[in-house]
Amino acid sequence: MNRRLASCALLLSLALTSCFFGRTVINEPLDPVAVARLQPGTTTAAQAVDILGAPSDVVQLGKRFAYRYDHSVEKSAATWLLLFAMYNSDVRQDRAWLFFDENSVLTHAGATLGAHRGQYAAPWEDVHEAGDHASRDAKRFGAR
Amino acid sequence: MKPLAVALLCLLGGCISVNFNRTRGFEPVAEDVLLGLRDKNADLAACLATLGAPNLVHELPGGGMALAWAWIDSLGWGIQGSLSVRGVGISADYDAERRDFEGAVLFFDGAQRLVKVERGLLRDFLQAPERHRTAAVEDA
Repeated sequence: MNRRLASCALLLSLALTSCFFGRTVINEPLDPVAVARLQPGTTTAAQAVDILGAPSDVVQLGKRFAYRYDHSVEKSAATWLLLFAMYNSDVRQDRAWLFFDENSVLTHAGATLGAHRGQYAAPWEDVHEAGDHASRDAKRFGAR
Repeated sequence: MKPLAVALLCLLGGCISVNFNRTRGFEPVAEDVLLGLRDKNADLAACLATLGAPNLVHELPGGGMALAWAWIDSLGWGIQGSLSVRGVGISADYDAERRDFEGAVLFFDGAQRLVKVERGLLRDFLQAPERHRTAAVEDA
């Protein structure tokens, strides 16, 4: 019995030492209140930079141009059990694209605020159901 | 015999592993939503309001532009092995998981009206401009 217990303890200790949870964050989260202050037809590129800071990318579109803002969160989890390893990674992002005309006035803005929806999960788990999103959206900063 | 098998199993864990992986990223765009925008010949404002911010924006010739929304949800098996023989490391890796981003690309004309919608693997869209690039003078 003692030998069996010792074997179980050995296997369990091997299994427990082989797990990790990782979180990779790129850039600062977008503030929904700040994004809502952008007004197509009136906000200029300079004002947009005052509100949101420097964009992470600028794309030229003929005489027009667009600013990209993004923030990513990747949540990963892995387990090794002797010869078997499982790994899951989930990346979600806040993104905003601001489109300006040739006079540097905002014409269109689109935002996706989803970085807070990332989840640690096992590979077979279903995540991102509507209920998951609703509870996480309610806890996000700037949520109304 | 049993302790030997357990010890061997423990030792093999250092050089062989079978992997079960899943990679998820961003939010998928539903086909019917895309078709609805295309049928309405929607403008840029309507597309941004419906789909949110795209992942990529590309300039097109003639004043148009292409906006791409990307997502991934791949699941697959893999096997990795590594061995050191007389100080030389040898490793092999087989991965059945397909880590390709899917994407929806919306093409807009110069008046920022939706003219075409395509859905498929994002890498196909990203490679497309290179296939149509004209040769540089020194290459001609």
